[in-house]
Amino acid sequence: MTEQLIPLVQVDDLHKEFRQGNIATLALQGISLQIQRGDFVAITGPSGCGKSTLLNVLGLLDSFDSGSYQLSGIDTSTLTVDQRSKIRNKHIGFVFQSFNLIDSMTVFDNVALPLLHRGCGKAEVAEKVEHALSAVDMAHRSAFYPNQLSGGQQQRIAIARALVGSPDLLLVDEPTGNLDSKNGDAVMQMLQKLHQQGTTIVMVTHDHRYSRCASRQIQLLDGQIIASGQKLEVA
Amino acid sequence: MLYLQRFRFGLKRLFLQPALSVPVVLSLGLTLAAVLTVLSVYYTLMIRPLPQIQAPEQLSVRNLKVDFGATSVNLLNQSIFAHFKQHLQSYGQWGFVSAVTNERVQTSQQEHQLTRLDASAGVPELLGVQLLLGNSSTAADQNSGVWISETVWQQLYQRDAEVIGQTLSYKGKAHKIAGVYKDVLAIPTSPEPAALQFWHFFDDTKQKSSGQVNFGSSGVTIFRGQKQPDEATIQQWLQQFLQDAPELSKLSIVSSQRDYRAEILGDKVKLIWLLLAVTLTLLLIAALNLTNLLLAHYQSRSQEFAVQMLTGCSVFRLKLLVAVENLSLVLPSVILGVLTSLWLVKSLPFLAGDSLPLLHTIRLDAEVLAVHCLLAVLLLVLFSWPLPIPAQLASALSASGKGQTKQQNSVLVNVLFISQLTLSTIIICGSVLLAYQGYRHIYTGYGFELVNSYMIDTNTKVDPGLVALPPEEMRASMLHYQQRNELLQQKVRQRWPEAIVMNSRQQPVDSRYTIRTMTDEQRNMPMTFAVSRVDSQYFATYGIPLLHGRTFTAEDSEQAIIIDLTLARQLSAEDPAQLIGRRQGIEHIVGIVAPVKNLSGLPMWYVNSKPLFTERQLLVVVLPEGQSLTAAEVQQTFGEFAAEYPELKVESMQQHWLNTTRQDRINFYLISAIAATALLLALLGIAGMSQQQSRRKRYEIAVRMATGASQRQLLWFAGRHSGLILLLGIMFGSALTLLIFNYISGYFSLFKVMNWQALLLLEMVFAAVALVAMLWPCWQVVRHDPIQTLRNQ
Repeated sequence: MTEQLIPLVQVDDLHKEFRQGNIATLALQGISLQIQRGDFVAITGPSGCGKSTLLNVLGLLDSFDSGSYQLSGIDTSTLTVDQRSKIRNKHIGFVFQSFNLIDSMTVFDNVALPLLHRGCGKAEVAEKVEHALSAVDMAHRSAFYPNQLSGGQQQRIAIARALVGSPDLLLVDEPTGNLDSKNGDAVMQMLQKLHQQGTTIVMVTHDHRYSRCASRQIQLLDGQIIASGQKLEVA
Repeated sequence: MLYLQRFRFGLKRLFLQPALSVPVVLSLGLTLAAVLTVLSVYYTLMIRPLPQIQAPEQLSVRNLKVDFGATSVNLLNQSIFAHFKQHLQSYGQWGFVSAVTNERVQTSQQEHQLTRLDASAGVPELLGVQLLLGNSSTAADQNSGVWISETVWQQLYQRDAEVIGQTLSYKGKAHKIAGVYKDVLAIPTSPEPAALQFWHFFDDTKQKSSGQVNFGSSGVTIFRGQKQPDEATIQQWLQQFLQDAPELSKLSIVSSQRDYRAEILGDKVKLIWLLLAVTLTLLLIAALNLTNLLLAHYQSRSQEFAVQMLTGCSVFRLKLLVAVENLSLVLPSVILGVLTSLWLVKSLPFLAGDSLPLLHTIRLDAEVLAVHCLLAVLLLVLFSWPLPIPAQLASALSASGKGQTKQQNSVLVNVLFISQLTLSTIIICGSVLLAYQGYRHIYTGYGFELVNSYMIDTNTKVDPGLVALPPEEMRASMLHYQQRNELLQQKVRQRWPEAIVMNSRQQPVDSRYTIRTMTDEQRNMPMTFAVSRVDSQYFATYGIPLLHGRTFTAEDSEQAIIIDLTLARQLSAEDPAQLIGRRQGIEHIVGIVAPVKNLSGLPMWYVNSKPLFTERQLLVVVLPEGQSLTAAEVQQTFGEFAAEYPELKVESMQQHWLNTTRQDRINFYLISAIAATALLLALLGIAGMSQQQSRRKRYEIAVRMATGASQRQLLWFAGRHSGLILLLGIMFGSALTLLIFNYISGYFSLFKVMNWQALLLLEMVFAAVALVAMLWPCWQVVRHDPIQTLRNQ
């Protein structure tokens, strides 16, 4: 009951700066947002506005300079590298534009990775991987290697890997960026289906066609939220 | 499951990525083999209890040496030992033992070659050697019997329980077998005994020194007791002994005692430490190299590691997974190391010859294998620990593959590279210089020519009874053998008409010589030299230059002598030519020749040799190149006399040279192999590092190419980092080489004659070769078509 009351993501006044020599780039400037369980949030904005940086911070792949970020009520500002890994394993699933599958592993092994790092038994792993691959309609390709698959198929495998551990939050970074429109549409339909099944999704995209699929949109510019709301109509 | 998966991946990598696995397995396996072998040597010689020796801490050896400066000779022999023991037996148990290898022994079935151990009664008991059959050497009449070793009992008598009482003959005399002892190899005699051995004991209570004192035995005096007599007591005995032998009192006699194991090892301890240091350094070079190679490999897999961490893998677990992967590289290396080491340990008696003692007892003990496994685990940790953990997971996961990826662990990579270059420089410079010295020692500077020369030795024992004959009979007997010698020479000349036949008792590379000490009356100074009996043709035949005077003539008596320039300079600081005609004792100098290298290291004194007037006949025959001479041919030539010389031996100068230099040549090849291995490892490391750097810059190089940079500029861009590291590594290495050599030259005579100019030249050559190894991978990247490279990116 308490879990239902606590927002899944609670971000307050988040700042992040990249520095190279004397040149500093403000990637995030005072971002504050809440994401509830079951939300499908699309983060949009022009190139370099901080979309991916925000997503990386939400996914504990990157740190922030100031502000606070609580995931399921856990304060993430003081976590060690290994604690972050553990939280990612338990709470977060990630889908990237470039898929990030391990070429030397089969589809099955790629999808099984989060479960194996969690220490699941062989039978449990087999059952869950089978289920995840069936969900993305790729069960028949479990013995293949990623480089034997098309871009669309690889992205579906990446989604299966992100889902296999039943995470609280699915973070999706430009999922259609490397795909043609047909495969892109298929991936988006899959994400919508997952949302309908109750998965919380945060997606970064610059494609307005796909951002409209989300239940809520956040628009960024120069590291700041300039608009936020249900089904934003962007000019 | 995940670990099994990673192990399977490692196994696949072993076969699918030979560019990574072959250098790792080969270089690691072979260096591990070298380390394991040297560790086995170290463990056997320095730690493991000496086989068959009981309570060795109570054993020690007493050395009494007559010092001749360049060489020293044992004072104690069986006779003097009896005197020594009689005076000092209250201190503890004393024993004396010497070894003769390849003694021809007849059993009822056939002839064998065994080691004969001539010892005072009770030596096996003193050492603690187990008696298997028969009576102990102290309880029986020693002179009538011999005691065989277990290996002899097993191989020659098939462990026959009835062996006691059977006969064993050597030197024409039958001896009854009185007992069987366990094999004992840990005896500090020279030569070292083999397992096929038998004991013959002398009664040290009956033999006493007489007026005539001979010394120069190869035996050792062993003591068992709480404390050896102090030096003052030894000197007291010596003074008492020298009263009966005044001719010895002018000589310098040095007394010392040493722990039993230390005596067996001698100065080989330093060699063992040096070998251990060199092999461990080679292993370190290989390990640093491979760590660098693996770091480059990890760098190319950084995205994969990021994905592992993304999906919940901890840093420790990731390193463990990589360690499991690397197990597939380390395991074959360990197996290759053990197998190669087994072969090396078996080959040690051939490879090391007499460089190391107890070689036949060296084996791969469980303790050594445990250290080997520990080393393997450490290597596994070393290879897996510096795994570059992506500091920014986000950037590792979103890397497009373009541009110049940031080198992770760059400080570590540079430090590893500089360290391995430094170590390589030290090993390469040291081993090449040693190899060069070894080459010079073996192949140059003899002072004589290696010709097609053969020594014919009838190998018959001279009957000591000859001197006891009445003068008339003795003269007749001498004349008979002298005539025999001339007759045999004649037969050889007829069979090989183009041959030079000489009365010489030596060839220049021979180990047969007599050491003589006399006082130079003019300066009243003692001088020690090696005496060689040669005839008038000797110097011309072997190309030894005659510097002053003349060579021997047929008219010269045996009082005519020729000395070498070294001895001449000792006799006269001024013009050596003035020595011609000078009387030296009863001899007079007729000539002075150039010095030649000889085994004694002493100056040479050549005596005019006449045909031998004993049963033993020695002839030197020099044949034209391309012709040869065998013992069978000589026997055939001797005709009716052949039956009198059944043990006739023929030894060619070439063969003798090969035998004499065998150990030096093997050492030379081993040192050269170490130098080659170190060079190969260094070049692999340099090329690997350079390849890693230039591949990392490939995209940028392609962009520069596309925008018009020249190949020279690109080569500079690609290689400048590696070049700087290379320079630093070689500079550190050179400086440390100088320091280390300067330090160890005090401990190893080989390093004393270190040529610093040669060292600098060598370092420059190494730097040049290393530069080529560094530029080659850069050139491979630079010479590519820029568009092709950009497209590939």
